Amino acid sequence: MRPVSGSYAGVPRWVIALAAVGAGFVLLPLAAMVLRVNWAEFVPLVTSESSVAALLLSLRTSLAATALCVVFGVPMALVLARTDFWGQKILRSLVLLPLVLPPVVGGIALLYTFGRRGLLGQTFEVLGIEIAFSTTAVVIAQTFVALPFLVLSLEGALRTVGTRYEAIGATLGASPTTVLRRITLPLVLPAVLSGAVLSFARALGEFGATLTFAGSLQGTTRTLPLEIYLQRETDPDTAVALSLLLVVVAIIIVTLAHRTGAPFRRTIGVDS
Amino acid sequence: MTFTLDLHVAERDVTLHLEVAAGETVAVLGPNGAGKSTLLGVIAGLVRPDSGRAELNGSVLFDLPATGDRRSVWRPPHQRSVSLLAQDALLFPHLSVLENVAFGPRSAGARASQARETATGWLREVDAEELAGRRPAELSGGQAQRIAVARALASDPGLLLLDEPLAALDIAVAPAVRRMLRRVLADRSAVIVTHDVLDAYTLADRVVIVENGRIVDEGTPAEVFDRPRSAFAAGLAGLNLITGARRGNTLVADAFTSIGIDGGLHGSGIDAAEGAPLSLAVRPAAVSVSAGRPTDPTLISVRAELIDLEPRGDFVRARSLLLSADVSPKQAAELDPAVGSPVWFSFPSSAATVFPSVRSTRLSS
Repeated sequence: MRPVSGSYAGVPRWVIALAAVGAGFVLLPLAAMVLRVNWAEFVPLVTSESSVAALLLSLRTSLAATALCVVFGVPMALVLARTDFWGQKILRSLVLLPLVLPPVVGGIALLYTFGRRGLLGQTFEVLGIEIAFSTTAVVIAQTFVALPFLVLSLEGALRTVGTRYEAIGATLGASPTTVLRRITLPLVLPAVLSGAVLSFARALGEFGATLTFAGSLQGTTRTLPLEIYLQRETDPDTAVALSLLLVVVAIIIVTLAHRTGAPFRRTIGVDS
Repeated sequence: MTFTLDLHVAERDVTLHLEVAAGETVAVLGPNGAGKSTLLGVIAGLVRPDSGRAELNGSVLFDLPATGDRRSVWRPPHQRSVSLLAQDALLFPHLSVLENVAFGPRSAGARASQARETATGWLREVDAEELAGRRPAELSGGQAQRIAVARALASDPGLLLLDEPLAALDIAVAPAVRRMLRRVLADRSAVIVTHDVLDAYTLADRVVIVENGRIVDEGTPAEVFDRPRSAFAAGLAGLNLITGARRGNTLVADAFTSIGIDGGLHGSGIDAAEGAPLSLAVRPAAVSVSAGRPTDPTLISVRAELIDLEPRGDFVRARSLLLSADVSPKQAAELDPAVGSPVWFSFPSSAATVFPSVRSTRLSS
């Protein structure tokens, strides 16, 4: 092991050994799965009707959920980072709750909110809209669990950037909306992008809340993780092939998040 | 009068009244924590005072009455026509130099082409036209501060605020930026907060000294620094300041010290009334230190405890509570055993100025 760029790095050997065990713990299951893939049947398996339906549904709902996360998450992060009001700390904890909540609990909470007998469900029913067990329910479930990712990363970025540029912008005659559009958002754009990528990843992997709140109807609510769980019983080869597909998507997403995060750190480094 | 301000911040115990005439540049000096930055923040609209009122060119910037008999007014920063130039240039890192300078005109609603034209004009004004296409990250500190000046002026502010604009700059580039500032501030209403006497002399028409949240002195740079009324201003000007009262032909500083003011001294204090508060200013370089009382009758001598010998480059400052003297390193070495005991500080009467401690003109208004 070489230390970073030739400088002193006093990492004891036993720490390196533990780190190696940890890395093996993460990588070994992936390798085990890849070894189990039936390569001869791989393409037919992932292009079967139910697989393609699940994949397309997953992509469609995850993109919609990501869009909702940006639309509501950016204002939430701004309010949390830039304003000061009574109960703000409690509100922040509650907003970030889905991050630590078991997704199935989230699904139950959503069911009692938007379900037919739920808090808002009857209102929607009067309007002729039924949300539970529809594609809309999938998007809602994914947004619910993915929103905190964007809020959390963006709020941190907003605090790092600080308000000095915004104050200067205001004294130059820019209205709050102009300051937001021309200064704040461009400065934190990398954090918005990486937050959106993370939200997309979380939405794509959503399982528990979706199953509880939206069910598992092919083409309507059965997303890729649900399809994998279902196939595991009857057709393990398909389950493994689809799992590999999700792993590849996850790797692409992690790479993207790193890429978009890098210029952000550079921009901040310039003036500090 | 283009700008008037009264402000009160209870938490920091700040109570200030400030006026800036059309085209006048006022320098605000004071120790750290005296309330200078609060002052600029309040004028710009970034800090809200407890009570106060400010008016710029006839329009009310804020009006926060101490009691609830009037409706309070608080204009947000972007509607004040007040630009703030900070110690750091704070150029928007994601915009080019030209876009930075065009930001103000664009925000005021100018078309892109027109805003660019205005911006180019201001870049020319600060000798930085060739930097238009650069990114802020590619600029030196001095260049960035020039662009920040152009950006602040391009928004055509009714009042320009400068918060120690030269403090963060390299000693080598500060003089050029100072000259540029003198040119652009020449007929502009501005308030500049600074620590630097040279800034005050070069840029300001009037100087205001703020201490502990109050204005303690006010006047032209020459008035304030040649005849300081506060220990802070005297320190900035590099002067010893002895304050006391007139008793006959002497200035009585304390129970042990009285200084004869009849022979050879100059200054208006000689005509002061009996008992009137008087000040005496003398440069440390004109003061010498000796163990015994000097015999020369033209010298004014004061006996005081030598507190400390403080090296300052090629000379050493010998300090007492009353007076400081600049002595040579050789003499400092000889004085070293005397630290903690009384010695004689003496200076020729021709080197000192005596003047009334209260300025009769400006402060009374």
